Amino acid sequence: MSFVVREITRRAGGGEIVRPVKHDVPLLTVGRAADNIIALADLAVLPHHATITMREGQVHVEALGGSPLEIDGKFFNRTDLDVAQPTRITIGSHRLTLERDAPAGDVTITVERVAALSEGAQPEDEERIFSLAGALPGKRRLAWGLIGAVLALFLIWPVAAFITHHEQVTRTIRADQPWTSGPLSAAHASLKEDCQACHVEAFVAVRDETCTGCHVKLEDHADPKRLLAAHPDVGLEAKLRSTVGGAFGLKEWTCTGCHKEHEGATAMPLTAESFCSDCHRQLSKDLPDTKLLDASDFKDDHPEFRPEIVLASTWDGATVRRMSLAGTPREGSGLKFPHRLHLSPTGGVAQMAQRLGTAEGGLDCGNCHTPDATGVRFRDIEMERDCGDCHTLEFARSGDTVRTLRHGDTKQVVAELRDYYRGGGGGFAGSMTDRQRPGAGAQRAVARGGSSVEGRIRAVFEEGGACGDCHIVKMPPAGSLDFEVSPVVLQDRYMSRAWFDHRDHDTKVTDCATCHKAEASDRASDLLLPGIAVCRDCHVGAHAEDGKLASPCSSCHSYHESPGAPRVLKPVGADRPSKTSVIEWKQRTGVNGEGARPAR
Amino acid sequence: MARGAQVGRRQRGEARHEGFLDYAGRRYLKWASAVSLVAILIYLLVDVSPRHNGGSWYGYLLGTVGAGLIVWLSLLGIRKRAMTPGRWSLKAWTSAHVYLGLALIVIGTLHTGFQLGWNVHTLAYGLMMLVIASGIFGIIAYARLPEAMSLNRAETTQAQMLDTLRALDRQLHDTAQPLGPAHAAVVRQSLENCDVAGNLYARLTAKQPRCGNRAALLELRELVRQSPADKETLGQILFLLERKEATLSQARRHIRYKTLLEIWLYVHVPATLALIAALIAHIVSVFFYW
Repeated sequence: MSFVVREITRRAGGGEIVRPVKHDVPLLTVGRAADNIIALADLAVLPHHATITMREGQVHVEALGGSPLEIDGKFFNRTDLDVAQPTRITIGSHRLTLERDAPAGDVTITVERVAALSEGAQPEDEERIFSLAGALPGKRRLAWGLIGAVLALFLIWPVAAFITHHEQVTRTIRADQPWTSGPLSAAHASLKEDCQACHVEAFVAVRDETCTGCHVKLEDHADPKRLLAAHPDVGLEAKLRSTVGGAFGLKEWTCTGCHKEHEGATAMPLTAESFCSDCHRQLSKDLPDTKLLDASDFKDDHPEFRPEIVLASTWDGATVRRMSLAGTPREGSGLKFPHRLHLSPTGGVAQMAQRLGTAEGGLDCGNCHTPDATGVRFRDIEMERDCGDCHTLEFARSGDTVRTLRHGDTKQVVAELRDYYRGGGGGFAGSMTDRQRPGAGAQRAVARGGSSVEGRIRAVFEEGGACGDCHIVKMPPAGSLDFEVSPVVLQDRYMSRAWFDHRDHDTKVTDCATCHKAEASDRASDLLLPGIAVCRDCHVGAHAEDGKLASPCSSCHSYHESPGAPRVLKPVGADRPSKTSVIEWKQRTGVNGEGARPAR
Repeated sequence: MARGAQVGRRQRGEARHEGFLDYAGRRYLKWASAVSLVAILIYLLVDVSPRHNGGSWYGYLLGTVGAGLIVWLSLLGIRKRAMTPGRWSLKAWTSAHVYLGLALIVIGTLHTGFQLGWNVHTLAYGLMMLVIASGIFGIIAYARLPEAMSLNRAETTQAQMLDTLRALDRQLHDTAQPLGPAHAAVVRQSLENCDVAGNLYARLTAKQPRCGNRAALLELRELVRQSPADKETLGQILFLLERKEATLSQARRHIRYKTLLEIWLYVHVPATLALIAALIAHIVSVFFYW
């Protein structure tokens, strides 16, 4: 029985060289030193690493340097080996395989290097070492992964959710949120979780019917045929806009053609001035029968205001006409009223106001004109409420009973006075001294009208009398008491084609007199409306300049005109109704102006 | 003919390499500049209501041009696999790819109308800018690194560098055979714990502070200083370790250059494909919720 040591060397080009050497000794030494029988050129092996002995057919191994031997995956310092089956001993980078040769009983030890001499590169590693392919996952794998993730998250999931959850509006995670192109406007903020409120059908641009589903009371701007006729050929940009935009579903004359959403969580942006000025710049040319004047910019191209002015009033109706302020038109309200007299800080009116405790240092606008419930405009003037403090209609007192003429009813006044005087009345001159009024007609009538009843009644209606002070009265021929008082028609809304909001022109900032030159007006026929030049002191065209306010068409005008106020309401303060409720708000408050109507 | 004259001059020995950046007198740079300028001018001149974005008529127009450009630019990946000469040569194509790709910055940005958000649309824009940025990195790398790389290599090939390292390892191994276990263990660090390339960071920096060869070199110097035993063998090993260190440095610098030349493509190519996916999602979503 002897050892056969088979040393295997691998050739560079592949293949092995095996050199079997027979050793008829009972003990083999293994180590790096040259004096070993099995010398392993391996720096991980000790100079004298181990011994393999054979005693009575039994193989025994022993580690010499203190580091245990790895035998078939287990570690031993010394052990007997059953070499009937191949047994592997790993030393450094080498492997020794021991196996008994059955016929001769020799133990064959196959020695081979199993790990490379160094971890240094092999020729076949060149690509791995010098190219990034060795350090990163492949570009193709990365690309497929990214494609899959992007499509799954941003396309497949949202579309699948649309198909499977079409009806279900509220969901915690909405797959279509990454599709939004920007926050919805404040008016539509409540719809932000429900894309399909507007985007009803896939691949169909938002339709007008969807908008009008909620916005029910929108008026057309004009007859569609006239709209088209008025739409001029407005140059290259408009052509591009309609052809290129049209190809992508941007249709003009639709809601979304003007009203752009997803532009930020503020009020919906004002429609650009060009949407108006494209047509209105030259409307007179494109639509020759129009009554509208051309306008394209508030600062540079806008006619003088043309308010609806009451020219004359009869009991059959008032003559109301739109007239330009440029011609200094005069109002025919049927009233005599000198603003200057009433606003003077000195003189009789001021003294009376002070005596009555109405105002210190003379009247101001607010003593007679009070804002309506909305603050947008002013309440109609009512004689008793707004004038009556000073212009009393009381004419007699007996004990605690005060007799008052009925305002607005001529025949009743005549009857009342006739009964009073015929009944022996007329001695109130003394008793009413505490109720002196400017022109206190009934009282002075006693003095001026003499002692006849007719004379006294006539004096009430005459110039300087209680009625004639403020009203134009057609006196009847002598013997008749059929007085004819001209009806009073006060315009409650001069500009129904534009929106003017007094709240935007707060008196804390702007005094009434800034725009209304009432202090210099001596006649009721003076129209105290400011002309466009006054507005232009603060307002310019579509773009702000010189510290003045940008005022595009839509600041004052509305496309969807209604008989009442234009719908454009800009929120300026917390007390303002939100834009969504404007229609409702108008219905509630009745701000939709009814136009001129006679005052009582 | 200017073209003929140019060719003639070159034939007289003034052979000059014309890269894709200078191709045809930078024809595509001029084209791209013109396209960008026109796009900016129109953007400034047209009155888009209420403000510019991808959904205005001009936005749609820019979007269409941009999407078309992206598809065409990404086709370079297919086109480059077929080399052809002449007017439609790969060089011409690459030159156009670079300059029109840069013009896409203008077209894409104007298309957004500077309205960005957390959505699929901005994802597409972000990916597009990432692709372009990585492309710019690539151009800079291609313009500057080959010269430095060639200087570093100094006529050696990659295979020769590896051969040298292998030869040094074998010499180290053989020379260290007589050494005792302690010294042998030091040398083994150089043989067994020395990665030429390393991970991505090591490749980008050309630095491997934990490299076994460096550790072996420092430890052995210290050992030699402490004890005079085996001076001759150890001296020889020290010499080998130093040579290996020099070769490693050169190889690692080489790897660094190669990594810089390659790494942008690991962003450029996958990001391009992700961009195409995001572009599809962007376009479909826009018209799905029209």
